[in-house]
Amino acid sequence: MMVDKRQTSATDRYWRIFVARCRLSLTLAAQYRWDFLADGALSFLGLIAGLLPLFVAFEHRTSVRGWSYGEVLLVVGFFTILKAIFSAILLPSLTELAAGVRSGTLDFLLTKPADAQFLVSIARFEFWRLSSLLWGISLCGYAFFRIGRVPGGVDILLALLLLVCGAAVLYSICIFVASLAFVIVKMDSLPFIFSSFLDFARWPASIFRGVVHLIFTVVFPVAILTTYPAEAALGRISLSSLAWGIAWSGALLLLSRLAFRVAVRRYTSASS
Amino acid sequence: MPPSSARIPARSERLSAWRALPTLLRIGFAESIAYRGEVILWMLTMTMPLVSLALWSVVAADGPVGGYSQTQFADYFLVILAVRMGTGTWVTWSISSEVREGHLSMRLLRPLHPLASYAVEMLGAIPLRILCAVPPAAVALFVVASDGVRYATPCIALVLALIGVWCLTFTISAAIGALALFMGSAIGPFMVWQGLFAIFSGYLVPTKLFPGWLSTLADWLPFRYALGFAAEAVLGRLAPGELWRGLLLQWGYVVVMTILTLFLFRRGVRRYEAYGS
Repeated sequence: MMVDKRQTSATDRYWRIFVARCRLSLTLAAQYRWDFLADGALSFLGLIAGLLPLFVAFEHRTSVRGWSYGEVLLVVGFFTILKAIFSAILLPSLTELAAGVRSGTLDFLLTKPADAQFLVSIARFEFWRLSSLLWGISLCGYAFFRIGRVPGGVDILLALLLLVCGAAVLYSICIFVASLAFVIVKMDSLPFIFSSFLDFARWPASIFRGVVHLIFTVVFPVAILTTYPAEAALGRISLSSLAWGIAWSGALLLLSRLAFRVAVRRYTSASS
Repeated sequence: MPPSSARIPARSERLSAWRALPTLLRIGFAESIAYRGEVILWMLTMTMPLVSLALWSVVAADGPVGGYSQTQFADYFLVILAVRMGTGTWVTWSISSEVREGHLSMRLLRPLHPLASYAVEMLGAIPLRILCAVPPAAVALFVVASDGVRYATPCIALVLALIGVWCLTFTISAAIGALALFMGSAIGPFMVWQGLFAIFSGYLVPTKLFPGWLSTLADWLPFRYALGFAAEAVLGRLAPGELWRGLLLQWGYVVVMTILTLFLFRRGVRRYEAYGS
């Protein structure tokens, strides 16, 4: 019973740290409340620019590799949702870490009596960037309007489950990148390179063939991020994709945890 | 007008300062070499043309779209990448951060127009940029190499178009950077520019593929002349009439943007309070 009590107090403690971090970020976001609007407007412009190839391509074709216009829009909708989560919750902490490794301020964080990966992951949130969630959800709605049917309850649940898997994959890759930042000290632009490669999740993964397709389902699994949730929402995801999405995202979480621990153990501070 | 310590130097001072240009050029080059890792990594973030190419190569798999076959799409986007790598500039970031941190004061003390010193610094980075542009250009030339060249673009027009792309990109970026003198930060306007640029420059879709009116609009707006126009010239996709008309428009925009940037600097420096130092 003693162990049990200590565990609950530990979760309690982590929860309190998390809430404190969120409050700090919210105070910060309140300073930038105009940025919420500006960011929303700017991300809309970015969304239109990103959709441009689709608009033009479907002027000339009715389907691309078996995906209709509405169905590809759904993929872009899920992409926009994940990108919003990424740039609001994951990217700020990641850039903070990259800067911390270079300047040596990370050492303060590592000496704190809490799990290092946990502290690194919640270092900073930029909540005002969540504004583009709105565009993503609207785009998904519009996509179903174009397809002309309402998704079933089970399909939506599966899509949400796979969206969580996608977020887990994204988080794991972030932790891998973070571990790499420990090894390669001067890596300020690493997060940005990663986020620009994320753009390959914009289209259905079946666009890619052969080795590239394999890379995008296993090594850098953008397929799990957007294609699987879209397929689930459309009610046509195969059992193997579903199993792969769940299993691989779970495995990546564990692998990234391992990589992070190895990286921290081998880390020798940059400042001294 | 109140007397101000921060001012743009008079013309007579400026003329004699041109002797410093070779040294400034060398400094720009040395800086780009010092930050070579950063520069090359930033080049790696230009994935969007390739993302767009992935879509187009599937769309064009069962026949050409708007005059582009599968290999011609590959050529187009690789040339777009090469041109962008060679002619891009980070002058907006430089100006914006120097305004915020007060380093602009240093530049204003020099007997050379700040715009000229920025230009020379950015020119110094060109050798490294061209080096980065070699891989995509080589792949386009030797691996993909479609035989879709319709018009042989005269060498002089090609050179003029490419220099025009650099000049237009630089002047527009500098004008946006100068907005930091009025607004404190130029990041917002820069994002707007980037969004419009992605749409109208041919970065993601050759503008000739747009539906009629949008394509005409892209022909008249400046964005295409800061990228896609030169790529189309390289690929021999412009009829002589189109080519020369485009060059005229491109250089017209360069002149207009230069005047606008000079004006913005003149007005902005008066407001500039040299925070920081």
